[in-house]
Amino acid sequence: MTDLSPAIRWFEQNGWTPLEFQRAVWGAYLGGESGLVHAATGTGKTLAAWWGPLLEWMAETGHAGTASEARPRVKRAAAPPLRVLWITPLRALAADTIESLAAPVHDLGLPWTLETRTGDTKPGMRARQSKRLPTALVTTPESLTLLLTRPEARELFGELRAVVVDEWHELMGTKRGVQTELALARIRTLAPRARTWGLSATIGNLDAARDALLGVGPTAKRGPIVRGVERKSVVVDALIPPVIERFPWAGHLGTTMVPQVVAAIAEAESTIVFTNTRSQTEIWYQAILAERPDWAGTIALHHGSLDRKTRDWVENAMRDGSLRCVVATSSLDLGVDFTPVDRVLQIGSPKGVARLLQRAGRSGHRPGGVSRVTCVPTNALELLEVAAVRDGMESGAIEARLQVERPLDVLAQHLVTVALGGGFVASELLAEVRSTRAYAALTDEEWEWALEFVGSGGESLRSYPEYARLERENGRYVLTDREQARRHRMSIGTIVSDAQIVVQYLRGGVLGSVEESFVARLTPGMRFFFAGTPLEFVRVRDMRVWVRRAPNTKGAIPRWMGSRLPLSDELAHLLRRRLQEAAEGVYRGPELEALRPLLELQRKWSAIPRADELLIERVHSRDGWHLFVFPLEGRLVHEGLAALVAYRMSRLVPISFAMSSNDWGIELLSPDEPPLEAALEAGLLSPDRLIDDLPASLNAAEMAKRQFREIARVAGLVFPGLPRSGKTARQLQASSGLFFDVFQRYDPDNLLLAQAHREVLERQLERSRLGAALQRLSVARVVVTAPKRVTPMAFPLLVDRTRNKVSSEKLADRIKRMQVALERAAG
Amino acid sequence: MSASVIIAGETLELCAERAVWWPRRRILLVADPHFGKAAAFRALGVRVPRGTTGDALARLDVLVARLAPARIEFLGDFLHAREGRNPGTFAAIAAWRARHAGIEMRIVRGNHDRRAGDPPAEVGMACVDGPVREGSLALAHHPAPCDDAYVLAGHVHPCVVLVGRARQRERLPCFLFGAEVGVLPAFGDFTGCAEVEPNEGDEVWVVAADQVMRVGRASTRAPGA
Repeated sequence: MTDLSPAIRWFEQNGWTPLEFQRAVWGAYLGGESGLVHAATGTGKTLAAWWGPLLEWMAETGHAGTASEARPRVKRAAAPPLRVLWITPLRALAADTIESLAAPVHDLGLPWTLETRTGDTKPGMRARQSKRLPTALVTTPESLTLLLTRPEARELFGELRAVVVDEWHELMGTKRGVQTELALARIRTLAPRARTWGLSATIGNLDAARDALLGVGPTAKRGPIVRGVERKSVVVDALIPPVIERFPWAGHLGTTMVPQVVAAIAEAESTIVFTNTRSQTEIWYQAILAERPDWAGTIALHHGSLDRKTRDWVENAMRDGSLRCVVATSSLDLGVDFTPVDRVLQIGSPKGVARLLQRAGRSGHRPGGVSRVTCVPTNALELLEVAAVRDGMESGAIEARLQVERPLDVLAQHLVTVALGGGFVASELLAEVRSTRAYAALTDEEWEWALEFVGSGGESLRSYPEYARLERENGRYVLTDREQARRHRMSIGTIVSDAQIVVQYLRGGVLGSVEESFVARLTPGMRFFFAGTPLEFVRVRDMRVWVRRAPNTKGAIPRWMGSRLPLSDELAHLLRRRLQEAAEGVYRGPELEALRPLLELQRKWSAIPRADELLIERVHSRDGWHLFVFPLEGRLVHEGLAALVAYRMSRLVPISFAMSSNDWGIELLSPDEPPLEAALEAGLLSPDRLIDDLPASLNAAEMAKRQFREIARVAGLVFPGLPRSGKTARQLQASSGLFFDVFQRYDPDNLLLAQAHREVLERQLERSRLGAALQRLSVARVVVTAPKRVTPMAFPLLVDRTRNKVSSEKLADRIKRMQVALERAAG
Repeated sequence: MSASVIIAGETLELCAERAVWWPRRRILLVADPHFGKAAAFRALGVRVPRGTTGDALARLDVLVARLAPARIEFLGDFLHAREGRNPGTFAAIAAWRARHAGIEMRIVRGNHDRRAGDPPAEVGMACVDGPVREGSLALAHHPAPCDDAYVLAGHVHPCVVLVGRARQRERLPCFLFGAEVGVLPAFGDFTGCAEVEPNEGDEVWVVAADQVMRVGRASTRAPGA
């Protein structure tokens, strides 16, 4: 039994006592076990995972852990080789993590080196690390995968004892999580002595989280799930608008609430204002500053597209309490501990219970502190979502993370990674890949296909002459082409975004980056806001946007791609329950009281749907015929339903639809009156024939084609935009849409196409939810109303601009009624 | 189905196959086929299925059978890249060329051709730098105005976004005729296209499946655009 006393002593020296769960984790680790720890943020998870490897090394080497006063600089070559890998989802967290890990190492005078390795790591440090890795390395999934491409990967991990995956709940259920699962499986093979520990917030499916982390199958060990400290009490309230507007404006700014927000910030010592998008961050920062110009210099903004130096400055200022307020996106959701923060505001609906809990947890770190989060609705209906999310917190309805099933694009990328990192024998790697939860059900056919896809030969390569990527050497698959190796290393990862362009002052300072599509709309002299600063666009040169400061006037705000979060299943259910109450005339709580006039109006003009009803509103306007349908199932499910409903109606008569969806419902807009009654009679919402109708409707709405964007990038078909890329790279550019069309036409059996369809169904539309929703709707009582005007519930849909389309008209017939768009000219 | 326009006194037919037919001179004009593009991708390690070359040649066959041209003019970017030069692609093009030995064929070189090089001599294609005069017209790859002739060119791969009532939207390849220059849509399938915004007075003809149709500009900002 390893002695725990150095740890206990160190805790005591700092005035603490080790918590029960921390001791449990140390014991399990030292006993050779892997596992998962879940606890609230800032409750000592880091030390629970970190002390195990420290104690183990001290016991192995007999190091007493008594520090001399002067800490000697640890010589790189003298330090133990890589023993601990610490994986963090955000590179912004890496520096902070190192700081917490370094404390006991310094205090005990251990000769360990601790370093980070992320996309931000400087070339000099990279070079040193390529000669010798530190004893403990803090890194991101992408940088870890990059390490696996090194031919000497096996030697690198030879002494590895512990892999810690921080904030595992953030990675899980994403392709990054799957990439991490594959990397962990690789490490289990390369370093059998290493144990894996995951740190997670509390989520609805911890067993699945553990399985994904530790692997499945005959050789996997089912490690313990250790429960840490529970969330301190959380108070959720809302800023209630003094006047409930008759028509809530959706998706937009909702900055009418600025005076109340400013008052709330003024009450607190230090506030984080969370928004749901980066654009909103910029908008709210400007709005707060306009209201309180005297706060200039004491408020800041923080989002993922800002330059790292700016982000670092903001984080440090937050920690030492010198900022009154930071406006941030999810970039501040995780990790970093801001003790001075005593108030958290959430702009717009949090869309989920777990997410609001996470954000609430950023405040109240002081002893005895209560976490308080105040929601600021951007439209009136969001008040209902606030009430529902509080219901969810009270009943402990914390969402599960959905899982990603065997994505072949990530697998294809992994095969090339392993081929570079020393090569592989197919049967061995297959067993390893199947030991991950994500690929446990991988079929032989899919495996063969993926192998063949990365070009290792095979029968079906006949359609791909001149093509080869992997070669076979003595039964091992390897990749030796240097150009291809370089390109693979540059495109590792599963995060897909438009090409990013750096924004820089003419005088030199870098502000951050914006997407290429935003730059395309800029003309010299145009003003825009970025990093909270009014800027004037000068020119684009050398893949940079050159700007100068502009006088503080109106200007555009950049928008970044990235999906809006849908309402979680749990929250959708709670929302329907609250509406049912309202339909019965019951208005519980301050939010519902405030909403009462608006909901009464909804009832007067149309109806408030009960939980067993489906409300459909038909409205005729100058724009055309609108059908508003309110299943209240969340946006993802609605997108699928919109495509299905439009497709089924378009089978009855030639008609064209433009659809939009939000968390409450869908809108179908058509130039001609849609055949609603006939369609309802023919089973518009019936779960019958779903197996044929659903794929057909997704095709009609081109949803798989959009999903292919991500798949093409991950599978290595499309390269991210590279600055100063040579002629070769430029000749290799084609859009994912083009690839989709070419595959569909010339290689329709391509499994990446099948994956695109599957992802739309399972991930995009949450098929299980869609199926359940249809079951519910097929027995629901359909209430069709014909309001004279657009109702409060329908209005947010009306103003939504992103639309899918489904048409059964002949293209030429549609074109006869259309004109060339002149969007840019019109502004 | 095709449509006719009169440009610089010449009647031109716009074909839905994304080509222009000049009946008086019996010339077929084709821009930006980008032969060998898919092969270039494959050679550089990106999987693109084969079939694009054969398909483009088959579409040319349809045009040849219908129109019986005396000459075919390629308005640049006949080949995509040096890496796309390969025996398979050239054999397919040569066999196609041989089947139409009686037709004159010429490539007005484009920016891609300059790097990719001319096709091998045995394919039997004349290659020239543009613009080249042809009656009252000039044939070129780059859509730059010419002193004394109306220019027909490629290079842009133009398409337009159309909008209509009830937020209808459609993106289609087009022929774009300005005051001094007319641009053809790209003939190749694996080429993509670039959205253009026509100026006042430009004529826009879109390829809508098997039809070519003239479209007007929206006079005001479209609803929801």
